[in-house]
Amino acid sequence: MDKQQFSSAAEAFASIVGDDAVKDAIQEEAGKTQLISTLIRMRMQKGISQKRLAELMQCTPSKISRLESSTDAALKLSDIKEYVRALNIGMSIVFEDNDLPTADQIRQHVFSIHEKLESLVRIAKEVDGDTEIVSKINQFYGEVLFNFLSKFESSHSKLRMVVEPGKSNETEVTPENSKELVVTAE
Amino acid sequence: MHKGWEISTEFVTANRFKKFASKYPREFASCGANAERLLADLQSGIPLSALAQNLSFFRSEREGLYRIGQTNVPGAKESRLYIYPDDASKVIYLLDIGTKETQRNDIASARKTIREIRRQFDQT
Repeated sequence: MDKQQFSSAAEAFASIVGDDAVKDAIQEEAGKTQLISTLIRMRMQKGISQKRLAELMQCTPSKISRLESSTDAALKLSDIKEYVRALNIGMSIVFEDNDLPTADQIRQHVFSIHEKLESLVRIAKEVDGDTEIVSKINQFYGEVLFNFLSKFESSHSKLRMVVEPGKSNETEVTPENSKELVVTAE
Repeated sequence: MHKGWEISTEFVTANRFKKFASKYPREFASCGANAERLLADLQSGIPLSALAQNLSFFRSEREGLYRIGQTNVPGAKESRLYIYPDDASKVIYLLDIGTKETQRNDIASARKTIREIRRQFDQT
């Protein structure tokens, strides 16, 4: 056992017993409760106890306990809806048609992001006069643009390597040149 | 830069884990999966105390020692994975693994290891 510090339990356990199959077994087991783990994590982050959640869901605490101790496969959609509603968390189910061309899938995501950005504009209008909130939303818009362009540029430079092999791709995205890059990309 | 939690195997007796994995493979995988869940929760910033109150498989054994149990294993052998999550260094030290029958000795041995870890830190 050479390495002694790990970023995942599966890797740590596999290293101790010297068997990579253990890593697969643990990952498979962890995969069975991914959704439940997320639900519990959201509840804890909101500082809501099982008992309080039961009150909000108008059920018994033992039902919450059973639900949180089960597996994703045993969850009912109605329970998930009730659980997140009680936490005041929105839920959307995304269907991704794998038969759709990737370009169409990207288009759908772009529309979805646009919708969210529009909802921020609505918030900015609603808090009329609160300059702090409006300024933070404005700042966030800048961050979104920067993050998007960084990722876009990373993929685009890889694409350029395919389209024009041999040409160097060293343009780095910065908040200053991001607008120019959009023009170039178009 | 934010340092994330990591898992250390430095104080593990490999043979004890190997024996347990061979005798109770399903429980071993379940404890490992629950350790993975715990790690993800810690990474998301949830404090240990909140986790011990909210996760059915995770509880404090006092003096910094915590145990992780198995879940969703039909007819399982009651299992306990002993860990020492050190908030200051953001390291979860794996210490020992055993069953309900051996827990008294396992806890005593794990607490001794924690004292050793703390002593090493105090010296540095």
